[in-house]
Amino acid sequence: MSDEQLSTVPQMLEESDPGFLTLTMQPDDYYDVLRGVMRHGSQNDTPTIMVSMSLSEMALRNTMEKLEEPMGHVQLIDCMSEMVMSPKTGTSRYVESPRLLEMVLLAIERGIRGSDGPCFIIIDSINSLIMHNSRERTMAFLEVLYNRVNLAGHKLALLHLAKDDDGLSIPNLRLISDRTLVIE
Amino acid sequence: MVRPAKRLCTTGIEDLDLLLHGGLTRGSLTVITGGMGSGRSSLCYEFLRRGSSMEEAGALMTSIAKKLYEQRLPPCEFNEDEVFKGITVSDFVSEDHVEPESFSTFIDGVVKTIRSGSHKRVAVDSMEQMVEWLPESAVAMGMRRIQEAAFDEDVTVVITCGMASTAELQAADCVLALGMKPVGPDAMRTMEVLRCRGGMQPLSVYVLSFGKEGAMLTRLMEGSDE
Repeated sequence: MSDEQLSTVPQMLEESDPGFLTLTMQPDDYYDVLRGVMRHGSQNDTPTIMVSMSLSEMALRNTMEKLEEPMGHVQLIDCMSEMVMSPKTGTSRYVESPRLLEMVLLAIERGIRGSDGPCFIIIDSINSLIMHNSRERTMAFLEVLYNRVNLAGHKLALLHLAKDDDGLSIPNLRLISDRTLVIE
Repeated sequence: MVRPAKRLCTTGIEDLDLLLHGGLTRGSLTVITGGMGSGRSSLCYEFLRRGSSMEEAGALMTSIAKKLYEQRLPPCEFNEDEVFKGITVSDFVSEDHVEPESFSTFIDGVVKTIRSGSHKRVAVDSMEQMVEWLPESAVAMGMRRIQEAAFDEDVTVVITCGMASTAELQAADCVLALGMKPVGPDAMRTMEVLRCRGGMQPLSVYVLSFGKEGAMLTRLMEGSDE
């Protein structure tokens, strides 16, 4: 993705109202979109909470460091380090597994309560959510999250890697989110 | 019917107050049931401590020594010197096979604390061992006395017990049932509102968590894990 394309992600997020957004991308663009969403938080000085169900904390921090993308403004909720036995820095909130969705919700809630004003929440990703949880539990989780986000004017970005066989058709995600942004 | 706001006792636990449509009724009796480790003491403490931070003095009557009680509490935002700020703590010895006369003396002590006029919130943690061998009539009588005193003095009372007897459940204005849901090698604490002010409550089960910021709840996700 070119720098110009990269800047479109924070721009698209900036133009979106608070609510539940799905960001659909091709797998090759994953890291660039990740940079873009983090950049949106830092550009707007918005408290940013990121739930990582794909990468462990160390993997994410090392990657962002190599890409020279600051993460200091991000409150990270790491759902992977315990599962993959990756070292932790102790600066994030940790959930033992991406299957403990209630704990993820509580960690998000603690992050929201510890912040001033509306937050920008990133869920990485619906693909990982569905991989670790049943469809029923995933939908229940998204429903609770949707209500919480809408009540207080937060903005939530749900990352979606579009693959041919993932069973997560874009029309379905359009049903659960307020707006779907397709990154091309 | 909407109750006037001044008749509600905000627990100070935001999520719980939402579930209870504003809080517990002032001058009411709430029973918290649950097994060991389910969070009864922590919830009691949260109720008293949040009340203290809202200028409502509390009294904790505990069946274990104060220092041991403090060790049970999860890490919270209050520093070591302030853990029991605004809370008067007294311990009582809870024996097995308590006779009805001894139980009556114990109830006298609880009623005296409620009627002292010094506290707006009182927690008794717990009566479990004490009532285990007593006839239901004795337990019902004791609970009724506590309930009357609470109503007269406008003091909100919380009592914890294990598997609550019918007498305890029937006497209470509100019943919160705590439990543990096994999750792999660990467990999640759960909470249900079985009754509140005589009304029907939603049937959802909630996950209860204690952290530095205090107690929080979220809905237990339905659906199987597979």
